[in-house]
Amino acid sequence: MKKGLFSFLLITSCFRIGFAQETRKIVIKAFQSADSSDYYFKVAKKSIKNQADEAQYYFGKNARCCDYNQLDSSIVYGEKAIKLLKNGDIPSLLTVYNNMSKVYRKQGQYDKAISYSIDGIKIAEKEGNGNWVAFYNTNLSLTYHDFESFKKGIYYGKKALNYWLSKKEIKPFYIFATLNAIAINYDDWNKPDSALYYHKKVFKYVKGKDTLTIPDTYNNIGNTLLKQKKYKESERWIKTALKISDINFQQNGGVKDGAYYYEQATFYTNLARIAYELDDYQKAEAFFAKAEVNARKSMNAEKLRDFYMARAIFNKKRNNLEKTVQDQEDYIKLRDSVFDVDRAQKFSELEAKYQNEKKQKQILKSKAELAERNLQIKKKDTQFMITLITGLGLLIITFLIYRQQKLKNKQQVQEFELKSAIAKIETQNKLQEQRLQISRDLHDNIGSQLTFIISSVDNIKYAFELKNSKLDRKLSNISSFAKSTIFELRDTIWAMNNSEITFEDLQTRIHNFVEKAKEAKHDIVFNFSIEKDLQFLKFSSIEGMNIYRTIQEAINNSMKYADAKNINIQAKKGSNSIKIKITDDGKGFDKETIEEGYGLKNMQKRIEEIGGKFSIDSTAASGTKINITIPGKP
Amino acid sequence: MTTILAPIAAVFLILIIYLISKIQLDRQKFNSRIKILEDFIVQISNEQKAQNNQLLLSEELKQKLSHINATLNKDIYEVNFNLFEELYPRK
Repeated sequence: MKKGLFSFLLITSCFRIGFAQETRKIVIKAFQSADSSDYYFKVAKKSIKNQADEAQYYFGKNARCCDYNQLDSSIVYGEKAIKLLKNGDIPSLLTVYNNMSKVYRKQGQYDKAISYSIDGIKIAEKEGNGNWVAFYNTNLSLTYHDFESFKKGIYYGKKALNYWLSKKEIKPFYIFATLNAIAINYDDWNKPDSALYYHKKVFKYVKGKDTLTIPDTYNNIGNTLLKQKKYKESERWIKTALKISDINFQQNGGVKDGAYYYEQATFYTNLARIAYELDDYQKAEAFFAKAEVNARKSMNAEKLRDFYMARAIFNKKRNNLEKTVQDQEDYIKLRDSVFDVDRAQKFSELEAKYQNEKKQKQILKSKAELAERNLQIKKKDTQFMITLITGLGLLIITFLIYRQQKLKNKQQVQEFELKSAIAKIETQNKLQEQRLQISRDLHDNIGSQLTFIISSVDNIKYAFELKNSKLDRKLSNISSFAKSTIFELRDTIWAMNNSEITFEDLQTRIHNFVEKAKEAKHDIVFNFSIEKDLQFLKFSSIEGMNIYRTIQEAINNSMKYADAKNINIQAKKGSNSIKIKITDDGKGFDKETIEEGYGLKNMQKRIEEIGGKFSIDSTAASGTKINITIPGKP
Repeated sequence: MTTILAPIAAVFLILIIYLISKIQLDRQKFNSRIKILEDFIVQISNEQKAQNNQLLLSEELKQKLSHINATLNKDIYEVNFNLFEELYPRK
């Protein structure tokens, strides 16, 4: 497998990012140079001026030793580099962690390899560097593979694969490394179909000339087919891998690094297995010899372990028991050194610790998310409430404006109606005023004209000394008629000229009338009484006139027809009415037999005209009682 | 959002209060104006009523005058007739 390619890509990419100063440039040269590496590193060491330069120097040494399988040196330089890089160059630090993990994996110290990977993941997660998290996950997948914990290996491999596939820009070599890690886990887990699926998937991303960079995939496919006992097919794939590896070796200037030895050991171990399965022991022995040299030089515990296992089976098949036991012992020794119980426990603890930390972080994150969501809900609630209030406010304002406008229109209509009514009434009033004025003008001269008639008649009477009694009586009649008419007209004109008449005015008028009546009949006693409260009560002109005329008529009747000695007129306050009572002690009459013409009907008509009630009660013995009730007055 | 909507809500509230008070004020003004008009109508209605009464009295007077006129005409005619009878035998 070409795990070296993966590490190389990481390192070079990070180098490009991190290095800028003089020492760094020299370190890059040292790293890239095959022959003059040591020289450049010496130059770089001399150019160290500060801590950062020193850190870069150790970082470069760590990477170089890692690729050239100087594992112990790589660890020493790596630890120094980590100390110096911890507070500064994070990309370089991540690369060192990756190298350390890789070195420990090669040594078979998987607990330390995993520890460095997990530490690397923590830093990468803190920095938000997803690429590095995926690199470490791939690394973990490979470590678990070597530790034969294939399930976990697949788990971490798939994690990394999902990340790469979620990226917009697909990086073929990153995907290749991850697919390769997943596939070898399946392969060694005895799931060849799945292994082949992931191996062949590599060709989807790496095509054409680029396939020269993935001899591991060819070898791995061959390895899987070998397990399926498809020896010839397997041999073809592995030989292709070997050819590609040789071409790459020549193109790289014949540099034999850890990756090279690892690949060679893998290819030859597999070819040896095919050979002995095909009973070509001689060929197998030759391949095992080559595989042993390369496996030892690769310094990879897993590779050496695989080699011993394969050769033990081979020797067993050849019935070479001594060598079989020797190989098995070597295998077991190596396996035990790698798979001891304490280490396995340490593995679990490390992972559990990492998972716990991760879970705690997730809990904290979800708590923060929950709090934020609650805040958003609260905010939305507030917004909803305010929106509701605003909507309601708008609705109320619209309603109020509409109502105000409606009210205004209604008020305008009402005002217009009132003004129209006023105009109408005023017009009517003006018309009536004009009519009244004309009427007054007509009546104004009547009094003087009647007086003129009276004086003319009297002059005729006395000037001509009339002996004709008939003529004399006629003239006297005219004179007295004119005189009574004057009095009568005076009352009406008085009422006409007053819009309101008080009870007191009425009383005065009736008194005048009574005084006149007394001139004709001296023996009649009049008694006119009005309750004090009623004195200032006001009537309209028509009401006053009708009451006056009714009382006048009643007195006239008492005087003319009843021969009364006492006439009483009383005005009292009733419940919401005025009661006027006219009584006399004269001859009464029978209402059934009385002739019309006494003005009774006229009296009743006048009172009813003003909404009052008129009643008359008369007997021959007790005289006449007239009751008038005017309602609606206090 | 909240900081924008809160002042808007406050403005609406002030506007509502202003509109309600304005409606109330307008109504009061209108009522007082209408009261004056109504009082005026009552006054001129009373005047009209009084004028009506006076017109009724005028009508009554008119009837009375026509009656007086008829009576006086008759009386004067009879006096003239009697005078004529009185003077005629002298000639």
